[in-house]
Formats: sequence, structure tokens, C-alpha cells
Amino acid sequence: MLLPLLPVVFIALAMHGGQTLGWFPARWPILDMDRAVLTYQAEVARMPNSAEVLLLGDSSCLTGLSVPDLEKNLGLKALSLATLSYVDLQAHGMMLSRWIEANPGKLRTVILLMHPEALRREEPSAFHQRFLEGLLTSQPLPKPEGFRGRWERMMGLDVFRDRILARILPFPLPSQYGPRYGFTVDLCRRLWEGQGSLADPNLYDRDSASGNAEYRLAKVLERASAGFRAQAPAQVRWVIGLTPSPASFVQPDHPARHRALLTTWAQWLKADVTLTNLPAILPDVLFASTTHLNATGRDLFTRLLARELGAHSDESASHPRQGL
Amino acid sequence: MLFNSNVFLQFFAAFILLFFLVRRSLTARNWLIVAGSYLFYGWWDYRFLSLLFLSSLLDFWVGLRLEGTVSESRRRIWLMASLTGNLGMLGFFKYYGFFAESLAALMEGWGMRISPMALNIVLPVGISFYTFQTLSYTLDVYRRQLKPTRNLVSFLAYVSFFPQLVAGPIERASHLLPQMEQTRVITRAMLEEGLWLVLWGMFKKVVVADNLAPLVDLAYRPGESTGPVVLLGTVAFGLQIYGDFSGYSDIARGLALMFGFDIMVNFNLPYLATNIRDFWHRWHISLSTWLRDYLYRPLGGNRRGPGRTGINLLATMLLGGLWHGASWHFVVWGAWHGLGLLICRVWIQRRESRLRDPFPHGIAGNPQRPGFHAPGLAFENTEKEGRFPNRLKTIFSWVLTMIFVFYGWLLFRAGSMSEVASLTLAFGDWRCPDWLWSYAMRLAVVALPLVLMQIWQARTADLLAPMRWSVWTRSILEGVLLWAILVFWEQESTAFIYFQF
Repeated sequence: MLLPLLPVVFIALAMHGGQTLGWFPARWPILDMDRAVLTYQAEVARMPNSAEVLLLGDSSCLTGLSVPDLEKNLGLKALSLATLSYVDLQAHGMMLSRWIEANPGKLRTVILLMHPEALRREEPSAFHQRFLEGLLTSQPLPKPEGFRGRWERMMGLDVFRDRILARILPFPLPSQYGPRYGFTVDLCRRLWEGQGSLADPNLYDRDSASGNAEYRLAKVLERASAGFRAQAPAQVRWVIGLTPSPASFVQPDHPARHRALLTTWAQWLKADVTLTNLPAILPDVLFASTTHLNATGRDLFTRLLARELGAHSDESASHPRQGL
Repeated sequence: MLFNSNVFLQFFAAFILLFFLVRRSLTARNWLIVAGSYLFYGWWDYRFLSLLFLSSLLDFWVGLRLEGTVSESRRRIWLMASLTGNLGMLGFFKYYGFFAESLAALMEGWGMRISPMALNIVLPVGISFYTFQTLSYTLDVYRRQLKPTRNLVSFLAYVSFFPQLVAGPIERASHLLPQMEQTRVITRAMLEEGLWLVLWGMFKKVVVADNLAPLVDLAYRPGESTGPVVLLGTVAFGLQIYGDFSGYSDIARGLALMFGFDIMVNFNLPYLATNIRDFWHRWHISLSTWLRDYLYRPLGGNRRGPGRTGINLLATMLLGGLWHGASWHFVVWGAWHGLGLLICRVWIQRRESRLRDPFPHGIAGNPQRPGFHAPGLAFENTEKEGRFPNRLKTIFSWVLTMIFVFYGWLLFRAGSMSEVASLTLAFGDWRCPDWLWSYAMRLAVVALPLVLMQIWQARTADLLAPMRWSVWTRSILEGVLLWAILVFWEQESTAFIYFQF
């Protein structure tokens, strides 16, 4: 009756042995949408690339603009390493420093775009934060806590899932991402085509929207901003902006609040350019959720962003170091 | 409590330990089965234990009354009491909303607006299964095919036996009840077979069915999916429901075997069926035989001429469809299979009559026909020398049957009749999304072990083919299955599809 346990032990040993001896392919844990985005962007952050403009930010940056379109408008090579609001500025900073290590001397501009929702987050999601850090530093990835986590590590289940299973078994994406992008592997392909950007295929439903729109800056953001700023060489130009919210979701004073948040954050970050003319609100029909634009909204926001960046580029024409 | 949950593993460990301790005392063992089964069921919602108990008590009592009553009219009254009680409970909990809404819709069609009382009734898990199980006892006693038990604990154990309580197989009292009234010998072979069945059933559920489920969800988006996606999604659903339900049945049989009980085989390679009748001999056998014995035959079966046979078949399958769920698409699914069985019946009868008489239009009709001089070989000759060889005919029949069965799954899985229409219309649009390859890849990777096992079982004509291997070889296979189950074991267990029925 207990004989079947022997092969289980053998497979577990083979998993650990194979990992130690480097028999298995590299980690590629694209087991769901969040992990696919983080894994892909962490991989790209360590690859050589010719981009001179780098976009960083949360998922509103990931889905809020089209990098190929922005590139056409700017006439400069651009790339987005935007991820999720679940990770903090420290993790974004690690992405940036990995990219600079892999692409020394290329970076001219960093554009940091976040939604106000992400700025009030006091703590990142421990799992996502450790997951991204683990990928960027080649450290073990987080596993479930307690007995289950220990058991999974002991049995080598994580080795199998992260190195083999995710490569042979595509994982379907949730909600409208499924019909639009299909599976995690297809999402990575679309991220490649979009140079790190995606469109959110969902449609904003005002009636089912939840959450509150009393946006503020988290206390931890001031110190994190200084640390983040230190990740890039001094000659790199820092541009920051906030992504918009649906008009019906926010409070009447949102535009003023939006501007105040942006100005304060720009001071903390010592930004070279603050994109104060980007819209704080847009009509609901341009949104996929309270923080994400839909494809139409994304096209509009990309044009507005390009125009803003172009305007600042013209302003700084007399300062060649700061030109986009 | 779900088989694929951590709490069940703990429950099972405790139960098997206690079972081992009391195995020599019949009464203590049956008390343990009842207590364990009620705990197993009550874990979901303890309030519905009363329903299970009442249903059991009713049939136990009616059984005793039937035995003590000679008058046929009085016996019929007792039978009606059982039918009314059991079907009344089932009807109320499962079908009240359906019939109330359907009536309101019908009346509205006639210009009368009525508002049925909304009761928001919770459907007790497994009610369809245990209702049919207890009814079979009463019906068998009524027909004098079974002697009623006088032991309430045995009867409660028979009705509530936890391995098969919530999703079958629907056991007949004539098969399981006597086992409850005997001490059971548990042999090493039974434990080994039980272990294999549990592991293979769990693999089918946790690895195959649960990994196909998101594919089905992705495909069954009426109005959004195109033909290729609905086609692959329907294949995925056919395999998912088979993995899910036959997985449950295997686990149930395996667990029962570990306690020394034999419960019936519920699936026999249904996707190898070459006609619809064959399919229903292989799919959910405990339900199809129940419907045959307690509904189709009492209606007259095939004894009252072709017309009445057709009506009986359709009525049986319509009710079989409705048994699955209170929704019109289940009724349509039942009707679809009823129609299929009817066509199949006519076709087989015509073929058989043709084979019995190779020249239905008289010898003059075809004087040159081979086999004329050897009527006993007529079947063989005509088959061999037909336009197609036997093998091709079998493949053709199999393909036709599978198209029929899988379109039936579309009717079954769609949420409503409008979804059925929308998904069917999708077959007119053959655009492929660019992720179709990933879809097919996941379907193939997940379904491959199941398909290979079916082929192996079919080639060896043995559902327990792996049991014929040496202990060591089988243990390797079991170990691999166990490891795969661990890989996909979720903290949040996914319920079995048939729990909702």
C-alpha cells in the first residue's frame, strides 16, 4: 500500500537534484496573469535593448498607453517595464537598475506613471513584491506560508511548476483578458509586440464599481521616492505623471487633488518634468475599470502623453542634457 | 465535504482508523458508517441532515408496512406515500423555482401576469441521488423483489454511505443493503484495487477535469466565441464532465472497497460507444438502469408497439434530463438523447431484420447475392462484402455517435436556451483567435493521460488493466499519479459538477 510513495520520493529528489545540477530550463513561472506580467517584465529588464525612454509604473501605466504609438510620436526608442500596483517603488527601482546594468549608457529618460490609487498604498503585496524581487535577484520565489509551503518545497512541486509545467501548459487569463489575449504565453507575446504595454479589454461598469476615490499619498512614499530616484544616473531625465480616473467615480474636487498629489510627489522624487497637463479625469466610456483605460482611452491618453512630452521637449531645447 | 479537500483527508484518516477498530462488530461498524456519513454530509450544511434522515425513515417504515400488508390496494397506498414524500421533497427543493417561473412565463404569454412566490430555496447536495436510492428500495419491496430490512441502522447506513452519498453511483438496495447486514472481509487485493481506483479517480478530477474547466469557461461565452473555440470547448467539456463524474465514481468505489463494500461500476468507457444506445449502456450506468427499471419498463417499455415505445423512451429521457437540473436546457438535452435513442432503435431494428432476412424483398429481389446458399453466415457475408469494411463502418458510427453526444454536451453546458442558440450559431463563424493553438495545446496536454488510459482499457477490455501489472510497475504508475495530484492540489477545492444535481 505504501509502495507508491517511493516513486513520489524519487520524483521529489529528481526535482531537487535536477535544479541543483542545472538540468532543467530556467524559471518561467507564468502560472497566472499577475505572475506572467511580473515574470515577463523582469526578464525584459535584464535583456539588452536599444530603448532610450523607459516607462515605469503600475498597471495603469501597463494598460494606459501604447508604447509603439508613443515611440512613433516621440521619434525615440521606448520600452515599458510597467507592472502592477501590488509592488512598491523599491521594486520598480530594482527593475530600473537591472535594466541600466544590462543596457549601460543608453537611458535618457525615465517616465514614471502611476494611478493615484497606487500612491496611497502603505504596503505592497508581500507575495508580489517577493516574487518580483526573487526574479530580479535570482533568489527563491515566495511560496505559501506554513505547512503547505514547506511541503511543496520539500516535494519539489515548485521546481516542477516554475520550470517545466509553466512551459508546457498554457494558463488561461481571467475575465475579458481571456477572450482577448487567451493564455499566459499569448499574453507574453502581446507584451513583446506592445513593447511592454497592453490594452485592458474590460468595460467599465459604473454601477458595479467599488472602492473610494479619496486619494492621498502614503506616508512611506516620500522616503521610497528618494531611494527610487537614486537608482538611475544623474544625467537621466525624470518625468512623472498620474493616470486618469473615470469622471463618475471621483469626487468633484478630484482635478485639484490630483494636481496637488502630483506636485508633492514630484517634489519628493525631485522630478525634472511633471506632467501636470495630463487629464485627471476622462469620460467613463474610455475606461475598463476605476484605474485602467480601455483601448479607446488608451489611444487618446497615448496621444495626450506624447503631446505633453513633446511640449516639455521643446521647452528644454535650450538644455540639451534634458532633451527627451 | 469534498473528496479533494484537506478536511476530507483528515476525516478519512480518522474514519479508517475507527473502522479498523470496530470492523468485527456489525452493529458498531454500521453505527460508525452512519455517524461518519452524517458528519460528512453535515459538514456542508447540517440543517439538511434532517431531510436525509426523514427520507430514510419514511422508506424504512413504508418497507415494513408493505411487508405486512396483503391487500394490493393498501400496498399501493403505502407506495404512493413513499413516492409522494420522496418526490415531494425533491420537487420542492429542486423544482419549485423552475416550475413557478415556467408557469409565470407561460401565463404571461397568455396575457396573464402572475408573481410566483420567490422562496430562494437552497438545493440540498445529493438529494437527487439519495432520493432515487431510497425509492429503489421501496419499489423493489413493493414488487416483492426484495425483503425489507428490519434493521434501521443498516438501512440508514445503506442510504447515507458516504462514499456514494452525494453523487452516486445510485446503489440498489438489493446490492448494497445485504452488504450492510454482513461483516465484510477486507483482503489485500481489495485494498490495492481500492487504492488504484481512488488515485485514478482523484487524478481524473484534480488533474484532468479541474484543468479543463477554465478552457470550458473561456469557450462558453455566448456571442463572443467562434466555431473553432466552441468546438474545442465542447470537446473540453465532454472530457471535463467525464473526468469529474467518473472520477467521483471511481473514488467512491475505491473508498467503498477499502471498507470491504462493493458498489457498482458507473462508467464503462462511454466515449468508445458506437451508437447512442451503447453510450447509455456505458454512461452513468446507475442512473440509466434506474430509469430503465423504474420508469421506462413500468411505462410499458417496448411491449406496447413501436409508437408507445417511442413515447416511453422520450418521456424517460425527458425526465432523465430534468433529473439533472431544473432548467429547460437539461430537458432539451434529455429530449435530444431520447430522440437519438429512438432513431438508434429504429435503425438497429431495421438492420437486424435485414440481417435476419438477407433478402427482405424476396429471393427474386437479389438472386445473385452472396450468402444465398448459407443463411447462417448471411451476417458475416453481407458485412464483409458491403460497400465498406467493418472497421470503417465502426469508425463512421463512432464519429457520428460522438458528434451527437458532444452536441448534447453543448446543450447540457449552456446556461439557457438562448445560449444554446448563440453557441450553435457560432459554428457559422470559423475565424480562429490567435490563441487557439494555446487552447488546443492545453486541451491536448491535460486530456492525453485520460485518452491513453481509455485506449489501454479498451484494448485490454479491462477497466482495471493497471491492476494486472506487477506490484512494482503499478506502484510507479500510482506514484506518478499521486505526484501529479499533488502538483495540482488546490487549497480551495473545486466542487464536483454532479454535486449540483
